[in-house]
Amino acid sequence: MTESSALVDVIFWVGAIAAIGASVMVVAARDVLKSAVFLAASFLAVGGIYVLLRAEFLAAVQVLIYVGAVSILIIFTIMMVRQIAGGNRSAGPFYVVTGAIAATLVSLAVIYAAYNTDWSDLDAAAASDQRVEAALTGSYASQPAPGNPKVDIIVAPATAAANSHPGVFERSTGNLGQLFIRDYVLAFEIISLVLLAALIGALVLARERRPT
Amino acid sequence: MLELVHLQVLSAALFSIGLYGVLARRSAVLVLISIELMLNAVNVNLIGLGAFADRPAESRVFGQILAIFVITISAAELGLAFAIILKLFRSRGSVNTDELNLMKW
Repeated sequence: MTESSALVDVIFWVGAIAAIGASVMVVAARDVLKSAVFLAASFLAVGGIYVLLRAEFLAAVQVLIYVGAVSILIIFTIMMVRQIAGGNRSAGPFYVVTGAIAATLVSLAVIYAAYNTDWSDLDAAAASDQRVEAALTGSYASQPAPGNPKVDIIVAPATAAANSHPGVFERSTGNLGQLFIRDYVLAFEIISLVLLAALIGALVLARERRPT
Repeated sequence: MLELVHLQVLSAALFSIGLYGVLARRSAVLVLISIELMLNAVNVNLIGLGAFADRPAESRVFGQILAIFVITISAAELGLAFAIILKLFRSRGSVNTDELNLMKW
C-alpha cells in the first residue's frame, strides 16, 4: 500500500465505475441479450479489481468461469428461450418501486455498517472466540500441540504490528494452493462432488423426452 | 489511497443493483443474471476483507478460499436453474415470473 498509490487509485476508480455502470445497464437494458453482454463486462471490471487486490488466481477464475462459461451459458439459454425481443420488461410499477426502495435501503444499511465498524479490530473478536472455545472445550482447542510444524492459521494471533503486514501487495496464489491441498482438501473434494451432481442434474432436467 | 471501505461501498452498490434486478424484472433469466450480480458483489467483499486483514500473508487468502467456494456454488446453481428454465419454457411457453403460478392452486 506504499508505492504507486495514485496508480492504484486510478485503476480502482476506473474498475469500480465500469463495474457499477455495466451492472446498471444489466438491469436497465431493454434487450436480454444486451443484459448478458453487460454482465460479462461487469464481471471483467470486477476481475480487474481482483488483480488490484493481488488475487490473481481469482481474477483468472473470474475471467475463465464467469466471462467465459457463465456468460456463454446465459446467452445460449436466452437464445433457446427465444425471449430476446422485449423480454426485459419490468414486472409492473409496484415491483419497480418496491425493488428500488429495497435496494436503496439495503445499500444504505450496508454502507452505514461498513463506515461504522472498526474493521481493524478483528483480533478482539478472534480472541473472544478463542476464549469461548476454550471455555467450551476445557481449554483444549486453543492450545496448539507442541512440536506440530503446521501453523494453526485460524487462531494464530496477529502479534506482529500492522506495519509488518503493509497491505494488500503480496503473492497469494501459492498460499491458496497450499491451503486447498492441505487444510481444506475435504471441502475441496466435496465441492467437486457438488459440481458433478449439479451437472448430472442439469443434464437430466434439460434432456428432451423422446416419444417412445 | 485505496481503503477497505471503498471496496465495501462498491460491493454494496453491486449487491443493491442485483437486488433491484431480482425484484423488479419479469423474466426469470434476468432474475438469475441479477442473482449472479449479487454473488459477485459478495465475492468483492470477501476478497477485500481478506486482502486488508491485519494478518500474516498465509492467512490473508481465506477470503479468496471462500470466494472460490461461492463461485463454484454459483456455477452449479446457474446450470441447474437454466435447466429448469428450459424445462419451463418447453412445458409452459413462457419464463415470466408472474406467469409461473402453477403452485398457487
